[in-house]
Amino acid sequence: MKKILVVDDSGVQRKMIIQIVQKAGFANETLEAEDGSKAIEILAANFEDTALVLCDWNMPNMSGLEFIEAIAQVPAVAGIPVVMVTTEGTEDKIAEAKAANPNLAGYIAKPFTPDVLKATITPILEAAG
Amino acid sequence: MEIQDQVYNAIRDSVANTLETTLSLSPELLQQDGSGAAIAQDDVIASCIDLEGGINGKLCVSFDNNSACRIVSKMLGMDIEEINNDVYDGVGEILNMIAGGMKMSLAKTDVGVNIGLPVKSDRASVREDIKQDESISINEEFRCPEDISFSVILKYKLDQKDAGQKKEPPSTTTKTLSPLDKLNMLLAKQNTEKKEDNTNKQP
Ligand SMILES: [Mg+2]
Repeated sequence: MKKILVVDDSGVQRKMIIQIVQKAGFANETLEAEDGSKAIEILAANFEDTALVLCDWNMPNMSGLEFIEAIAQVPAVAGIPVVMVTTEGTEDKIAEAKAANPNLAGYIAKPFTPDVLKATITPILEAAG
Repeated sequence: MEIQDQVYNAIRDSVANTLETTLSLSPELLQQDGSGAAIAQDDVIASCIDLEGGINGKLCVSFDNNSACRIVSKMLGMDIEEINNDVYDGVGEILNMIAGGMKMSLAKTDVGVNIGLPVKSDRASVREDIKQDESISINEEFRCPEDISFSVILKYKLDQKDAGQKKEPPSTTTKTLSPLDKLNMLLAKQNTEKKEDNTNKQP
């Protein structure tokens, strides 16, 4: 079963997201990164078996936007579904993220309920098998 | 509606929405422009975020130690009895969501605001931040069921000429290598390692 990469500068938020994923019945291994730079390192080492990236926007060192923009340009990782999970929920920001990564698979504005996260990731993970 | 009223409403709605959505908690507004009872406590876990754009200033939340432990326990679904990194981190993330919600509400009006990253703070700094000067202050105290109380403190100045304009967010990035270069470099390195691996395996 493929892995899920959770990128957020808040460790508590990462744990909350992972708990929701597990309670929703997905037994995928989860990987964690606290900023875009760490996420690049982890993805480079795991890109062949990563099913989904859940990514925050506002983080130190390298933002989620810079991260998803970079992966969209590299064929080896461009196809990995990315869902943004962020407080940046205004329409102009959503448009900016879609422009940075045209393959964006979903957009969740914080705060969100477990049901919203579950509904967004279920079809993606089911398609990944 | 005056910008000040829009800001007031945006904060109040965002506090309620953040706690209701994330933790199914309904906060009750105890005091508007309160005396700062929650920050008068000796033990305070606080976090602040910079605001830039149509309004410029700082948004802070402040919990007494027990309330901070209780709310982060709820976030993580486990009992936390002593202050640890998760408590500071969780309080910062609650503030982050409140600030994000405020930003979203204000975007529907004509006030564009960008938010920074939550920064751990303490009683002395928050008190310093809310000292009287020409800025507008909001200091609201909330109480939720399960004995969780906290204050939300906003101090800001209106930037009339920038109201409605979207500024670039405060930069938090220090770069040596571009994200794309870094990713390409790491993938190339892995490729080389794999090739070397395969060469070594050949008889
Ligand atoms: Mg963040």
